[in-house]
Amino acid sequence: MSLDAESRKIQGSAPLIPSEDTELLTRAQAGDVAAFEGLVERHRSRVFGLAQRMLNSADDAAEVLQESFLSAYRNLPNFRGDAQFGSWVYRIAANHALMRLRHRKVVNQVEGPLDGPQFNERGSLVEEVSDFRDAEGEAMDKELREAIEAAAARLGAEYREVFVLKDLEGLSYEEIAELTGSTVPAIKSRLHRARLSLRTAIDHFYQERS
Amino acid sequence: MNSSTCKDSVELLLEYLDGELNTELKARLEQHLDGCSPCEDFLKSYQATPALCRKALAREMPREVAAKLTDFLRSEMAKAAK
Repeated sequence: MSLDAESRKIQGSAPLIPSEDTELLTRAQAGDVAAFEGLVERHRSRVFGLAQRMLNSADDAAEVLQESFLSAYRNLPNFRGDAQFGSWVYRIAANHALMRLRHRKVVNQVEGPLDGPQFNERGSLVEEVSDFRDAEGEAMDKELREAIEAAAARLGAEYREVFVLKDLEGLSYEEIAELTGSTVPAIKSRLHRARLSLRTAIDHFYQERS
Repeated sequence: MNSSTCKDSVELLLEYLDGELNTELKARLEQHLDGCSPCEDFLKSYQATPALCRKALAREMPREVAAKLTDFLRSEMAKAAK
């Protein structure tokens, strides 16, 4: 297996079977370059997807992809195989992406209070709420996609990282706490704010359309 | 049981959906939702948000990125082998 299998679909190819990783890993650790390339081919899409969603930039994601697999290659002799290779390289990539997200100055990102629902002085919702449950099963509308992309891009780094890791990547709160160094209650609080902000953006999209 | 406001209820939604509210708070929230259709709709839209975002933000890796990764790693591995 090599990285040059251009005819294969990059995403959504063969299901990842850990035992195949184990065999490739053993060979890669013995210096088999093709075996390492096989591992890269199996895991690069997931790593790229994480970095792209975290950084909202294909160029930055491509750099994180390179850094992550180079770091994995250099540390292959130290990898003892008590974790899965895929989980290991995913963690490396998450750390690289988090570092970039936290340290770069994002062009056009406005750091301010997040959007959320509006309440009156008695604490009652003052806005009509759109019903967008049915949209889940539909093909994604281009304009809705753009509205969600814009809203996600407005999230500050601390909100974006927990939203991406929990709601897009499906990590547990404990895994996110380990990666980010935040407490679980702080992660939940930021996730809630991020969801409210994104929900508001989607709601506005439907309100304007109707 | 104290009555709660929409604002109180919205603050509980994440833990409610995670199944982590204690019995009293869960009952209070559900009582509010039963009598407040805006909050009932709000819960549905809040619950639907992550799936819509996953769909909107899904990305495939461009083929040129895969090709560049291959070239980069081969170059680095060749350097390491010298």
